[in-house]
Amino acid sequence: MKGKRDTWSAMKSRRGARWGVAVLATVCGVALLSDFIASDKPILARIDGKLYVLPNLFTPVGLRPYTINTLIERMGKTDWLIAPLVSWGANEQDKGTAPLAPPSSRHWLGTDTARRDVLARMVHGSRVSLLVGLASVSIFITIGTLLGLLAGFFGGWVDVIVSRTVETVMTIPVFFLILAVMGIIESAGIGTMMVVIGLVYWTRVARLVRVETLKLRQLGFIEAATALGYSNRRILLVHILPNALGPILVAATFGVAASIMMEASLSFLGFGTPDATASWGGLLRGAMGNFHAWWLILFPGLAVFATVTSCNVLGEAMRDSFDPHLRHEVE
Amino acid sequence: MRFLVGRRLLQLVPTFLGVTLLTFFLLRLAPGAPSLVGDDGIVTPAVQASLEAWRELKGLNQPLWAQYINWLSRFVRFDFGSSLIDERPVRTLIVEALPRTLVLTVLALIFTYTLSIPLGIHSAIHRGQRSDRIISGVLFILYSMPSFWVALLLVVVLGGGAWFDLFPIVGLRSSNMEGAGFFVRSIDLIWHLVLPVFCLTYPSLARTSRFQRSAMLDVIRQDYIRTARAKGLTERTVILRHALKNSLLPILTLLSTDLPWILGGSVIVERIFAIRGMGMLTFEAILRRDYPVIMGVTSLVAILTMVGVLLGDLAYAWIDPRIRFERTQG
Repeated sequence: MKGKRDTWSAMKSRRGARWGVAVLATVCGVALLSDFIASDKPILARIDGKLYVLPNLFTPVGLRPYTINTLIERMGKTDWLIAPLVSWGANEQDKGTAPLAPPSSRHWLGTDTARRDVLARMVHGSRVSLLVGLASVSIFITIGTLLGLLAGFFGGWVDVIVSRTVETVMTIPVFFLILAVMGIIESAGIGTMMVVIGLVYWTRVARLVRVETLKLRQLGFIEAATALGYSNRRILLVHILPNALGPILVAATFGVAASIMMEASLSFLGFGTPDATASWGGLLRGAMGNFHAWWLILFPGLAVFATVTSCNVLGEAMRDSFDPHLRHEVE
Repeated sequence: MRFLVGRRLLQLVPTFLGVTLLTFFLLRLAPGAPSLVGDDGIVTPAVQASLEAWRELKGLNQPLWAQYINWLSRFVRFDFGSSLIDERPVRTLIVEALPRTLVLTVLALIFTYTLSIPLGIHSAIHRGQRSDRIISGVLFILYSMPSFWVALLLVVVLGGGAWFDLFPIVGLRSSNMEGAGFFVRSIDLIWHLVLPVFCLTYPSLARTSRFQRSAMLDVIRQDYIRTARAKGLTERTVILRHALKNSLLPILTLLSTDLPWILGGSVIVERIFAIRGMGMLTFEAILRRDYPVIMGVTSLVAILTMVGVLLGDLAYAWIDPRIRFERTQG
């Protein structure tokens, strides 16, 4: 086992990994601060002598009917406001612009079919991608780790049941199944998507953890722990799990990429986010049939691509640094 | 060997039951039901009554397990039921859609393997050198590009979206091809195939060439290759005559995992290029909650997945006698 510091320095030395971290940090930042980057309400404003603090977050009653543009029109001499970088809301329809307008100084990345600002929707869409990515990964890592630990440690009929279930779920055409469940559930949204992806993708993790546990179980320190009379729970959680954490972390990183890709595909096909929720895949869906609207395709797709690539690069770097033997080999 | 095949075939039965049970109940327990109500959503008593009669007729009112048994007993006799929407047999729908998907996926498969095998071998021979790094890097980037994004970009740039109008983007045949000769029709088909086949090919290049690369590396490290080099053979002879054949064996097993994909096709690519293949068939069935069609396609693809895994294992056992021995013993 290598020390943590070695692992980190091996990872950081790869240029790709640094880029990956930088891109992911940016996306996370944008997702966290999306209301400060793109909103139809100002960050700070003084209207009719009244000071509004963070109306972009709390939307006070007095400002509810207004957007930044209508506010600017009715501002008096002593009024002022600080607008976010992109002064459009994710669902704000700009009546002054045509639907599917190309990028301009008014809408930097153009508008979609409902006259909404593409950049604003992309900024808010980052939340959906990250949320679905992280939540479904947490779900399937938990399920997979738990079942893998149990199967690997106890063996016998527990192992048989888990392994058979893994085999069965792996046989299901996953994309069809997710699509079907998302299509048939009437009120399917982001939550459903996370759960469905989480419930389907756990098999690889379970296999991985099972093998890892089998390997670890035969080592001397586990035997020692058993001899000391430690409970199975303690051995599993304190002695085996931490040593299997490396591969789990690698799987999680690749999993985030896969889940984000799946979310975008589902939303693109119309089975993901509802229209009111901005998402990258949803923006691309708007381009179906409007193939001249290159801005509706290029930019959101680029966001998906950058995020997915970063996760994959990071996953590769982690795998290489955790286990040099695996370098450049197929999983 | 025969014993191994028999046992594995028997093992497929519970897996198949598990898959179909899971799919069936997931589909049917999910809230939402097929309905004959139009977009206006008004359910008049008359509509309600006829809907009830229709559900009764289709057996949708029976208990779920009875419906499952019913479905299963017909499925094993190759009767997949008929569509709830247009009453046509699911088998006919599949037979109609399958050739369109097969053209796409088989071509994509051929391109994938003819491109990635040489690329993988090249990378293995020039391991760690610049060309290896460039190939790996480019393929890795391609692999991370969402196929719907690439497909849409191709349509925008080459399919008459915003720039060049070089390739058709709807279906697999032009509308004016009725009286055309075989040659013209073939050219037309190829024309329609270029973009979708590209979109199906590029994402799998990375996986396949990596697989070939590591297979080749494994072979190159073997003693007999060292012997071949030691007796003064040229590097070319060593690679092509001695290493190549053995490095190709593992990739045979990779082929078997592609089996379900060959028939299932890609929903996304078929949707973007309006090709009415298996992916679109499923997509539309899901939109309309057409359970028999969804079940039919999913079960078929599941069977192929199992057959693929089995074939892969058998190929391995056939290639490598050590595995055969172990399995029969264990």
